[in-house]
Formats: sequence, structure tokens, C-alpha cells
Amino acid sequence: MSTNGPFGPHGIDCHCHSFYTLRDLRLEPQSLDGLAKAVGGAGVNTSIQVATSRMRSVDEGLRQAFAIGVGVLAKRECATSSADVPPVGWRTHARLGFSTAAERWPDDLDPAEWASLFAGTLRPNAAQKSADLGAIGSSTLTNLIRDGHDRDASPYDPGPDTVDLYRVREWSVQETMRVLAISRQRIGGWLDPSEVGVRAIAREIGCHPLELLAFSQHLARCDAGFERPNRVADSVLREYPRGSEGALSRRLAVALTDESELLDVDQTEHDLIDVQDTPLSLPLEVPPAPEDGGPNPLGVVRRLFPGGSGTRGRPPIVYTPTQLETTLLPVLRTGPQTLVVLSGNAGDGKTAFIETALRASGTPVVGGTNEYHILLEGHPYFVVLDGSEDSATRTNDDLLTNAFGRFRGDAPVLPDRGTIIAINKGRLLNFLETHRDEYEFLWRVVTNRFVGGTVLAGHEYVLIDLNDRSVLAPDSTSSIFAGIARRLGEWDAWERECRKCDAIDVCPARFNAMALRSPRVREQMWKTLAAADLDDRVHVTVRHIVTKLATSVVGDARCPDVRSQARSGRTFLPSNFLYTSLFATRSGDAHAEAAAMDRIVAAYDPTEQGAPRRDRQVAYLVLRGALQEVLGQAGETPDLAGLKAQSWAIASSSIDEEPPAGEPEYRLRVLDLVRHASRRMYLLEPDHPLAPADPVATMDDFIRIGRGDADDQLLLTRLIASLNATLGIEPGRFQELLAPRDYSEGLRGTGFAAMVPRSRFALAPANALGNEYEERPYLEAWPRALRLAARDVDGVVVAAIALPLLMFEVIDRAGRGFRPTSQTERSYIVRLNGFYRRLAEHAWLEQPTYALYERGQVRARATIQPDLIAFAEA
Amino acid sequence: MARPVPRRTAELELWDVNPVGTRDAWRREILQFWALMLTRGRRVRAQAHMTALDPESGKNRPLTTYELAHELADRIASIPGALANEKRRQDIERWLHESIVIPGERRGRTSSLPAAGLRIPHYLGLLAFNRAVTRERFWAAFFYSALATDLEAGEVLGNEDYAGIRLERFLALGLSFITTPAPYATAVSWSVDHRLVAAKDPEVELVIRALTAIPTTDFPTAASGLPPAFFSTSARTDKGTYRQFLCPGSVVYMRRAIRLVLQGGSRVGHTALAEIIETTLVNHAALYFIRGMRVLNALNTERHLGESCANCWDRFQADLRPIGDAERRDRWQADGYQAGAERADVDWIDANCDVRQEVFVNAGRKEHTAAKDLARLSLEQLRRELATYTVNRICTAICLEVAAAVARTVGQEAPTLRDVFQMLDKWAGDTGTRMALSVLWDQQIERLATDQDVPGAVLEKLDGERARAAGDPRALEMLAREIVSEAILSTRSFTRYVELMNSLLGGGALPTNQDPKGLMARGGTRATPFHLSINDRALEAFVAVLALEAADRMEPLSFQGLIDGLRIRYGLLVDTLPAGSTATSGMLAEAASQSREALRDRLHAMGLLQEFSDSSEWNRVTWRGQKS
Repeated sequence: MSTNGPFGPHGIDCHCHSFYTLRDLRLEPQSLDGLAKAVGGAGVNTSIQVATSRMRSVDEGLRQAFAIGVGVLAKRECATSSADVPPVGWRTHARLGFSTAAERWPDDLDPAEWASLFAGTLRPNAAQKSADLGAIGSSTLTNLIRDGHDRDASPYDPGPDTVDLYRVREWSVQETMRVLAISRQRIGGWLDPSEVGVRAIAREIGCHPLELLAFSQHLARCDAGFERPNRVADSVLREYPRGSEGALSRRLAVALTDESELLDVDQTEHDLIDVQDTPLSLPLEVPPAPEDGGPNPLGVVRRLFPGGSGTRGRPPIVYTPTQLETTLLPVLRTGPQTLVVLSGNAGDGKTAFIETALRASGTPVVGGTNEYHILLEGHPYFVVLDGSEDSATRTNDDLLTNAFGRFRGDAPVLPDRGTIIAINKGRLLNFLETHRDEYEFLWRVVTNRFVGGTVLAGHEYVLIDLNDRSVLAPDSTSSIFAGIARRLGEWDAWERECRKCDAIDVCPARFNAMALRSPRVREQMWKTLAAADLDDRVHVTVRHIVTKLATSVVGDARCPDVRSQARSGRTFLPSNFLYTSLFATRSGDAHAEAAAMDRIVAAYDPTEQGAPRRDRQVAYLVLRGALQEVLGQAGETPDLAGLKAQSWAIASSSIDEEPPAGEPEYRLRVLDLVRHASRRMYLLEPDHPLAPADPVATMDDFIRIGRGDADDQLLLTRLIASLNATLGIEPGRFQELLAPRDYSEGLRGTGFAAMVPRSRFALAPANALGNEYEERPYLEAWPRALRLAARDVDGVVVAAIALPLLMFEVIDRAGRGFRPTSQTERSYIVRLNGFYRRLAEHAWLEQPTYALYERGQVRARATIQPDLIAFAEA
Repeated sequence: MARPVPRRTAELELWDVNPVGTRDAWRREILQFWALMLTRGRRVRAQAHMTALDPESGKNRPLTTYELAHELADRIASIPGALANEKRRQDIERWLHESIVIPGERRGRTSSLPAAGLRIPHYLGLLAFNRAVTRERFWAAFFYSALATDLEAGEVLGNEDYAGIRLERFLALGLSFITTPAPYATAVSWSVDHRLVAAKDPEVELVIRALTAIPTTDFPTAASGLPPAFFSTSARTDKGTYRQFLCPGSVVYMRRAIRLVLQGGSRVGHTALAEIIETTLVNHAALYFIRGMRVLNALNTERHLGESCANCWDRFQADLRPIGDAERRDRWQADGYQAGAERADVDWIDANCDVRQEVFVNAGRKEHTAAKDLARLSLEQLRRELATYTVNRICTAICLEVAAAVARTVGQEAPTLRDVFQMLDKWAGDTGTRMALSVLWDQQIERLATDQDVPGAVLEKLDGERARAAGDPRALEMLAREIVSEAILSTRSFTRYVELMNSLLGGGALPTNQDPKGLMARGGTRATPFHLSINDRALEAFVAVLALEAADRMEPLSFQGLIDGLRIRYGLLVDTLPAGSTATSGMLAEAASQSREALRDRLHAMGLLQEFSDSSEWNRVTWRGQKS
């Protein structure tokens, strides 16, 4: 078994993480005590391994202290193995000598990224910046990092007197080199006087922090040409000019490992060697502190951005228990052990549930570990995070045999150990198909559920397909979305941290977060995202919602930038606010899934729906500078300044004016402002008389049919009328559906179209694949499509088509006289072609009547039977 | 007048030099095929009731489309008990004119077109077939030749499962034969069950009711059979019969496809099923052409059939050839019929055939640019092979002619395509025949050189070349090949062959527009404005065949199974590149991805793909009425 995290370089036999305890960390007593209490158990004798697994729930300051301590400890020679330290290159994911998946880095961060995070912890807080140097020296590490932020404080500057006081020009080469080593390795550059981490470094090398700060500033000034360097500084700067930080850092790392090898400058070139790139990895995720030292809640929320560390497993801030946690987990705790199979797309929440199960059993989640043996209230379970994973030590088939072995046979079993496994459906089916004889019953259960869509009775196995789950179902108040949005809005840092920030009143992100607290706003957002969920172009996962909400609330904002802009007095653009950022598509987004989601949501922008009269009214008010009429009586909110500024600018200019270079012309500015104002009304004040209508008018009907509380026949009649309208038939003229042989040609030319009676059709809820919808236990779900099926009198399905929401809407609009215009809308109409072909070309057991059409007009209704040929008026 | 360098090589293949031009021409071709089926290979003549006396010229002229539509509409309106007033009768007449009556070849400058027949897939429709205004190309002859022995074997063995027999039953929907179709029958009579036709396809029934109505002096009825003149005036000609098939395996595939479709499409309307059958026929013919090209090119290069082709030839050729030996009926009864296209036959071909001509086709639209470009490159590659094939085809025909002459001289049976090159080589090495062969080749060269398309540069050096090759049959054969090559490829006439191939791949007629039956779509470069694709009807036909084949094996067909089936059986690559292609890997990856995803989307939209799971492997491709 190898080590992970900071002890990685010790080699594959290293067990330092279980050998060393908290006591071995060279921490301040207060920090050590705090950590011991936080991790519980054996207190200061808790192993690093166990402490690491419990670190997620520990106070952030203590986590940082722990991280620093572990980083230092990992520099020591391996205490548990004599194996050579394997060379590790920077930015490598698969380290030499570490071939199995479990031996890779526990997540996707590579050593360089870990190092960057580590460096990020050594930042000052506001209290530190305003404190005098003596206070710095006597403060605890925890206090230095955590407390006392003061936004008004200017960065600390020791000044030239301090430099003189500590006579840094008289420092020896050895002292200089030691400081440099620490500086380069930990911070990656010359020591910034404002860095509070200097205290830890100073402590490590045995000098006074003030000395370190003074020397650092001196070196930086020399480097910048403001001061004349002394001999030592001169030789150092010549040897290590700007830009050579990386090389210097690595070379000096050697010097640090052995005090006896501290070098004379003259020997440096010959004695220093390139060493292994020691990864400064930490088992923790530490949010970077902003460079201005202010509070940084947005930094935490940004972890929820696409690709962020908070999007894997249980997300911070917004974690919302689902029915898996609230109903399935209690069943597993109380019932006999059984088989639980979780499948679904990335981001659907498989890992989050398994992490919850592990927590429930008191088992720490160890990065890179795929298999666990746990006890859930005394019920043993074998837990597999990813059942599709291969490892060097055993094949995937072996893993699955271990996981499913107890469920062999041709009948259900009550095993002595249950299994909870997340696995790709295709892999599971392939495995069971290969061993069909061995797993006869399980094969039947799995194929019934995952292929046939039905549930085989007579067993307790739990097969969950998270594709069936909808994060938007059932409504805007009790869906997973609602929980996530509410938690994000009610996150305590918006109060605790933002109260310390001077930009609190103008910050768009905080405004957005506060907006999320409103149930009305959440309902409007829900409508938009529910439309995306019911659109068959994307399967909306929990991760989609989390990242979408986080990016909509935060946008591109960073706390220091917000403060900086607030100080400068510049207004924030409307695009920073929720009502616009929700519909934004981020260009250059490397995360295709999130980008797809953005595109779909943007398609439901309410301002994209043409409402000329309303748009003109809003534009009129905007052009007259009467923006208040549009923005309502909400009081002074941060976004109003920007909107008003734009409105005034437009009102004071004219269409005849030449726009400044690079600026949009007058009309575009008007349209832009109208859109912002309209979106704002839609999201924040949907009852405003000028607020745009919901982008999907039929969503309520669609959802009601799905729930089974709609008048199916009425809706079917409407649907048939709308489908006939796509052929140019006025609604209500025929009760039957006209099915020409070539739907794409419509009623062009002349021919007969079958008139299929309404009684032959049924409208039923369907799942995303267009198959009949079934309620699934343990899942929040709703039908993602409606299935229009035509049956012959003998019950044979002649033709069936799945209508996702947007297609339903497009057809309904056709009934109201609109014609499909966009590519997407037209592609839905193309889909109907196959459906109509089947209807028209079927040999019906009970002959329908036919419409004789000619150039778009129905001329006659024809009955063609052996004993009756009749043509009647249509 | 026959030209010295033969453009059309009936000895070898019947493909005409002129492609079918329009979709109406294609429909006339299909009518001719239906007529060949009913007459067992005889060509019918124009029927008297399809002509009218032109008062101005005093001569008979073909019935026009308007006149035929009017006649049929009158009959529908006058069916006892029919409810159709005059206004409705006019509506019906317009429908018949625009949708049912097939216009024939235009004659002179008359404003109205002659009527060539009716667009219904039924023997009864032949009552209105006017062959005088159709110009037969190659399709009808090929289709009939490909199915002819099925009709014969079905009769001998009493097996109604063969493709030819199934197709006849399909065309005779609702008919009970009193006297059955036969090669020399002078009449075929039947009774009509309208209930059966109406249940299957009311539109067809409406036309049939018109055709079986009470006869008038101008127009007979088909209620009890076609007029005797239809059979008595028809005649057999050799020019329309294939003597051998370059790729017998492809013909067996075609028979198998027809069997499966007609076996499985019981709930599909008659006209709809006819469209699938037409599509199946035309695409199998196109693939026969492509694969035959490869066989002939290999034969010319290797000078003998490859092992797999020889095996295929041995297994199927004798029972596929429409004109066979007198004893084969006895052999069928004793040893069985080898060309019945049973499952074992196609399995054998799948496993045996190693001359698949694999081509990449764009399963998406032309907007899928990478796939489109790769599919265009495939078409251009086919064009290059067509050039080689055209020369080889003509040279092989000349070789057969030369070999036949030598065989007569030495008292042997004329060699077949299979052994012609081996015999020529044998005679070239034999001192007894070497000189005779040289003389024959020299005579051929002299004759070929008189073709007006042979370039002057070739003629200038021809004498010297002949002198150098004198006495060496192989060298003389190469010289003849060079003349043919220069005469064919250096002239504009080669574009005709390209058009022919385009019409084959394009769904039966020149691809002036995208034909849903075909394997070609618009979109390409100025030089090659098309690319290979699978159009909607073609896709459905392929799905039907492969899904029914899988069902016959009691196996499901998955999306990947469909792609594999297209590759193995038809050499159509949807998401991989044919061997030897020059496309870059980047282009291939993009094209393959586009094509595959587009295929999935189209199948889904057409209702042919049912997905049960988000896992890519767990889905089912089914045709209509099939249980998944």
C-alpha cells in the first residue's frame, strides 16, 4: 500500500501517515489542542491518516495549521520505510513507481497545484496587517491566519527604519540563503512584507519574524532598484535574478533538508543539484485568501464552479439530502443487508450518496480508495465507489465478482454482507451477461430494470438509475433544486464574512445570493431550469444545478475585484446580476457539460420570446428615463445604479448620434437595456404588468399530464388539432389526425391522407428515452416527455413518438398559428415525419376514412371499402 | 451500328451506357419489371386500348395521361353504389392524373404526355401499361434476371418461400390465379378479392376497382385477367437476359433481402411495402455493381478468379443464371436448389467473401461537413475504380470473343468469364495455338483501331507497336487494352459511365435531386457535387433487412449490430475508414463521429431505434411491427 498526499515522495512502502500523530506536528500548543479536540478520538495521539480523514469538518484555521504542519513533517526522512524516495516530476499525475489507480493522486490536482494551494494558505489577515510588528511576533498561528480582518487596513509596510533596525545588510550568506530557501519554496517569490506566513517560516529557521520581513523587503527593494544591495544581497541577486525562482526553489530545497549542507554562495553552482520535485500536497482543500486580505466568501463559492473541487462528491455549502439519504439510507440501516446498485451520469450524485453512507457508518473517505467495508447499524456492507474501475492489482471482473458474488444463483438471496456499488449500466450488463448462468436471477432483475424498464417482483435488491431522477421535480419548493438554491442563499458567510467587507452594499454576488432567499425568485428560476430539464437535449444533473447556481450568483466576480470596483465608484454592469447571468453562456468554457447546460438555459431566456407590444412599452419608458416604472418599488438595490446609468445615457443621447469607437450604437444599447430590465422583471418582479411571460406556455399542462391530473382527452384533442395545424388545417375542422404519406411534403400535390380517429391515440407520460414512465422508489422524478401512441384495434402499437416539453410547445404554438422558425423547432417537426409515415403506411384492421387533398386543401372525405366507396364533403 | 470498341457489353453485363434519367423513367422501368415478372421474361407490346385515333393525322397515338385519368375516374364514379358526384369525380381525376398515372416518353411537340402506366405495385395495373412509350434501360432486365430462377424453382419444387415467388404473390395481392403465369402462357386469368386489397391498401383498391370495372368499347377490364393480346403479342428477346452474374453472392443477398422484407412486412401498407421493395432492389443492384467492379478488376489483374469468388461462383452461379441447362430442373429435384437465399447461404457468403468493396457513407446530412467530405472522397474513389472497370469490362468482352474464336478452331467449348484468361494464357503458351491467337488479336487490334474515339497519338505509333508485339498474344492483348483504354477514357463518353454509376447509387435515376431511395446526396465540390450517403428510405430498407435477419436468428439487433451489418453485408462504413483511404486521421475521427451520431439521431427520429438505457450498447433497432 502506498502513501498518498504529502507523504507520497517517501515511497511506496511508506506508512508515515499512520505512524506520525498530531503530537509530531510542530504546532503552537493552542493549535494542537484545537486540532486534538476537533478530530476527537485519541486526541493528540490521533494518527495523521485518521486526522486527515476528519479534517473536512474541522475549523478552517485549524485545517490550515494542520496543513502547514503536515507539509513540514513530510519533508523529514521517511520514518517507516527505508526504500529510496522515488523521483517525482512536477505536474505529473502518474508518478513513477506508482501504477495503480489508488496510488495516483487522490484527486485531479497534481503536485504543482497542491503546492499552489499550500502557498495560498500563507496569507495575512486584516488584523495582522494593521497590527504592529511586536503583535505579529507574539500571535498564535491560528490567530494570525483567521481572525481580525479589517477591510480598511492598508497593507503593512515595515518601512526603511525597520530594515535598518535589523541590520540586514550584515546578514551572513548562510542566513540569507536560509531565508531565501523558505521564501522561494513556500511563497514562490520574494517574501512580501505583508505575508503573515513569515512567522511560521521564521520559526522554522530560528530567526525573528521581523528580521525575516525586514530582509525580505530589503531584498525586494534591491531587486527593484530602490536600494543598493550589500555584498551578500548583491551576490544572491546576481546568482538568482528574477525569473529563476523555480530553479532556485528546487535547489534550495536540498539545503533545507540537511542543515549541514547550508551552502556558501561561492559553492552554490557546483554543490546544488536538481532534486526530485517534492510535491507539496495536502489532504485538504484550502480556499485561497484574496490578495487584499479581505474576506473571501466568493472564493469558497467558486469551488462549486465547473471543474471545481466542490463539485465532486458532497458539495460544500449547498449539500441537500435527497430521497436516497432520507428514505433509502434508513432502509439500509434497519433492514437486512442487500444489494444496492447506483448508476447514472457523471454529476448525478452517486458518490455523494456513497459518501453519506460512509459517514453514516463512521468510515472516513480516503482519497484514491475505491472499496470500503462498512457497518451500517451492524449491517455489513461492501461499498464500491466506482464499479467500472480497473486497478493494477486486480481486474474489474474480480472486483465485480467480489461485489456481486453473494448474489449468485437463480433466486434472490439474503447475504451475510450487502453491497453498495456505483457502476456504469453497460459495464454491469456486460458482466452479468457474460456470467449469465452464474447470476441467473440477478441478470433477470438487472435486465428487467435497466433494459426493459420494469421491476421484477420478489426480491429486495435496490437498483437505482439516477438518470430517472429529476433535480427539479416535483415543484419549486420541494425539489433538490429548491434545497440547493435555498442553502446557497442562506449560507451564513453572506452575513458573517460579508459584514466585514466594505463593498457589501454594492456587491452583485451578495445581491444575487440575497435574491435566492426569495421563494418567488426561486420559483421563477425553477421554471427556467425545469424547462431545461424537460428539454431532451440535456440531462440535468445535481452538478449542473450546483454549478449553474454558483456561476449565476458569482459570475466572474472575485472579492478583491468587487472591493476594488466599489472603491473606485464604478457601477456594476447588469450582466453581473442574477437575472442576466442566469441566461449567460460562458465563452471558452472548458467544461462541455456546463456549456451545454448554459446553452439550453439561454434558449429559455424570456426576452427571446417575441412580445412586440410589451417590448415597445418597456423601451418607451427606458428612453424617457422613466426606468423606475419598470424597476418597481424595490428600493435602492445594487443593480439599479448600473441600469439607471445606462438609461440616463440613452435618454441623453439620440439615435442620430455617432456612437464612440467600440461602443454599440444607440438602438443596440436600447435593446440591451430593455432585455436587462425585462429579465429583471421576470425574475424579481414577475407580477409586474410589463414582466415577460413564461418562455414555455405549455409547461403547466405538460407537468399536469405527467402527474396524471389533467384531462387527457381535452389535451389530446388540442394536440391533434395542433398537429393538423402544422399541415395547414384550421384547428377544430377535423377530430381525426390527418396522416399524409409524406409528412415533410405536407398536403402539397394531391393524394389521400389517412384520417386516424382520436380514439386510436393515447397520451401518456414517458421517460427521457420515450418509454412509458414509471414511478421509481427513492428518487425525485417526473416524466420527461409525453408519449403519443397510436394503436390498432388489436392493441398493436402502430406508431409512437416522444414529445419533450419544447416539442410539445412547438406543436402547440403551431395550433396557435405560429410556424417553427429555429433550427431546433424545425428539427422537431422533422421528427414527426417517421411517426406520420408509420400511421399512413399501416394496414389498419379497422379502415380509417381518408381525406382527398389537393394543394393544401382537403377536397373530400373518402370511405374506401369493398362494399362502399363514398366521397363526401370534407 | 455497333462500334469497334464496344460500349455495351451484353456478353458480360447488361448495364447500358445510358442511365435512367428521371424518376418517371425509373417508374416506367419498374413497370417493365412487373411486366417481365408476369410474362416470365417476355417483352410486351403496346396494347390497342392504350392508343387512340388521332383525327388530324388519322394515325393511332398513345393515350395521354389526361385521357387515362379521365377514363379511370369515370369508372370509379360509375361503380355500382359508389357515392361521388361530378365535383368529386373531378377531384378523383386530378388525383389520378397527378399521383397515379405515370407519364411516358414525350413524343413530338404535343402538349400532353402519353400515359405509360399506373403507379400501383400490382399486376392489375399492367392493364394500363404502354410499353411503346417507355424506353427500357437496364434495371428491369437485371431485376428479372436476378429473380428468374426463383420463379422456375418455386414451380418445380413447390416452394413459395423463394424471393421471386414471394414477390409475385405480393404483386398479385387479392388475385387468385385460375391459369398461372408461365413462360409460354398465352393468357393468365384470375379472380379478384377486393376485400383483401382494401384491407391492405385502400388507395390501391380504389385504382383496382377502376381497372376491374365493367369494360367499355374503348377500355377492357382486368376483372378476370389481362387481355389475351397482352401475352400473345409479347416476345422473348435474348438481349434482356443475363448470362452470368459477376458477383453471384450479391444476387443471393438481394434475394434474401426480398424474402425477409416480404416475410416480415405484413402490417405495412401495400404501397409502403412496395417502396421498401423498390429500395431494396435498387440498392442491392447498386451494391452488386460496386462489388462486381471489384471482381472484374481483380479478375483482369490476377487473370483468374480469386478463391472466394470461385467458391461463390461454384456454389451459386448455375442456379442463378436465368438461362440454364436443360437438366437443372432434375438436379433441383434431386440435389436441391442452391440459390434459394436461405439463412445458411448468406451466412456462407458473409464468411466467405473477401472482395467487399467498402465505402464510407455519410449517415448524416450535408451539414455534417467532415462526414460529407469523406463520403465524397469515397465516391471519387469509386469513380477511379469505375475507369479501370470500364476498360476491363470492354477488354474482357473482347477476350471472350477472341477466346470463343480460338475454342471453335480447336474444337473446345467457349470459355466462360471464370476461365477466359486462364485459357488465353494456356493457348498463348501452346505452340499449336499461339500463332492462331496472335492472328486473332492482331485482327481485333486492327478493328479496334478504326473506332473514331481512338486518339491520333495512339494510331501514330500503333504500327510500330504491332510490329514489336507480333507473334506474342499477351503483348497484343496489352496493346488492344491500351487502345480501348485510350478510346474510352480520353473521350467525353466516359462521363456517361460516371452518370450511370451515379444513377445506380442515386436511387434509380440520375441524382438531380436527393432520392430517398438512394445512396447519394447533394453536397460536394464543383467537380463532384455529390457524396455517398444513406437516404431515408434506403436506411429504412437496410434496417428492415438487417433487423429481420436478426429476428430470423432469434437475436436482437443493436445499434452497433446495425453498423456491423452494414459493413459486413453491404460494405457500407458508417464510422470507420475503408482500407487504403488517404483521409487524415483527424478528418476520419470527426467524420466517423458525425456520421455515427447522425445515424443514431435519424434512427431515433424515424422510430427505428429504441433505447432502453443510457448505456450505448443497450438499445434495439427494429423495423415496423417487429417486437423489440
